[in-house]
Amino acid sequence: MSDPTIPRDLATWLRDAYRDPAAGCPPPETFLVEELAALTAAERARVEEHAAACPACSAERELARAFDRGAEEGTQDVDWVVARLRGETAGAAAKPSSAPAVSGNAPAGAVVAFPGRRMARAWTRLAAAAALVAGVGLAIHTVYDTSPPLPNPPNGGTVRGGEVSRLTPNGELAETPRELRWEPVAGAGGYRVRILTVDGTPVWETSLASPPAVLSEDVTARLQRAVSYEWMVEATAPDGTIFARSATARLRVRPAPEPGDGAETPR
Amino acid sequence: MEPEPESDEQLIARARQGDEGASAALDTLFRRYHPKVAAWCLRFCGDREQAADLAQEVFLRVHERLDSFRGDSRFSTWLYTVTRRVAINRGQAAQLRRAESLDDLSAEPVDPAQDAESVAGQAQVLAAFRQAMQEDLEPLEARVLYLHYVEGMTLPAITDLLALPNRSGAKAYVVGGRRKLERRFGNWLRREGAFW
Repeated sequence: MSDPTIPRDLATWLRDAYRDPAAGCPPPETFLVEELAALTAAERARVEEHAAACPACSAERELARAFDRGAEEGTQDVDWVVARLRGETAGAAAKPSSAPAVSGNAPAGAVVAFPGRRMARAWTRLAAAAALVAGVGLAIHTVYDTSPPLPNPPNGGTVRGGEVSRLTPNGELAETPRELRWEPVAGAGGYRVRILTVDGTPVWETSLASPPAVLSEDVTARLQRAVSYEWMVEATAPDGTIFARSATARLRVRPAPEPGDGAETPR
Repeated sequence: MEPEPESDEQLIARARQGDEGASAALDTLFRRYHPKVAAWCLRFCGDREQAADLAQEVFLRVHERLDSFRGDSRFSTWLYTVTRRVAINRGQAAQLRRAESLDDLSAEPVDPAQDAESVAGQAQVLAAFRQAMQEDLEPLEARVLYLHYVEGMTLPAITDLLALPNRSGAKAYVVGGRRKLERRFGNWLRREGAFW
């Protein structure tokens, strides 16, 4: 008889095993150097002894040390990520993009990312600046898939490695999209479409017979400006089995400028 | 003589006042930590596009949750917990999406003699699992398995983080570690209808 409490996959097994209080693991942030320094010598010795024997804690210690190390000198990729966060052009110049530079005339519209928050203005400024990064003006474009056409699935069977291609929109957008499109796949009985936040939280999901997937106002209202989302499509055979998947497409609606910020241009 | 830079806590206090200086305080605070978070995200993702998205998400969450920061810990510690949590959620979501390809790594004959016949109940199972991780696997194998499956890190990023000697290093540890766990738990897992 199957035990319903038994984890069903390795990731859950591992997670449950080390979240179990019986594992005796300290909180992961304990391994930050400042937190370790705040412990007594005896406490610190106990934590280190535990981490030496515990795979989970030794892994967490590596991650905490990586945070403590911070940015090392001369790391171009760190500079690039920081520039993206700050909306500076230095990092954007290194971005591998053939997209045209955005003009200083960012689109008008209300900022909806943080309604009712007093600090919204600060973040909006940061986000607005980020959107003005040179090269970020990726207009809606299509993911071109150069792989050969998919074969028809064998009577609803699985074709591994099959792809749903030409997802659009993909990239930076001036306005919230009203629909999602992709190339129809021969033999598909339907499609499952999902929009997720970048940390994997589902935003919206639907199943439909053919593209496009029209986004209702309820859905578009959930897509905040200045926030990245991922979306993907699975093609299903008439019997419901998945036989083709898309790569993950990204979309991000550029933040609208605040009144008076319209003259801001990329530095 | 230059004035002392404001502490994180002072900046947070100013950001919470909501007056004209709030935006500047928040900007200063975030800028102070941009490089640190960016560097960690790069180490975690191993890819700068993904790292930029992750870092953006981190500061978004920090902004959203700043009101819940009570000051019981250092801001940098709290920032790390948020950063790690966002990264893990994202890594786990990505893992779910590539679960099919990960399944290709398993499938190994099982030695019935070493099957965990006696384990019963969640607590015993989890204890047996920890024991297997510690005793059956090499420490590095176990660490790689944890980073990959629990934290959701990609194999190249783990290879870099742990300074493994070659690009295929982490994958070899994952395959080896899974094989050893399968050897101990395989028959029992099949009886329970569980899978890896």
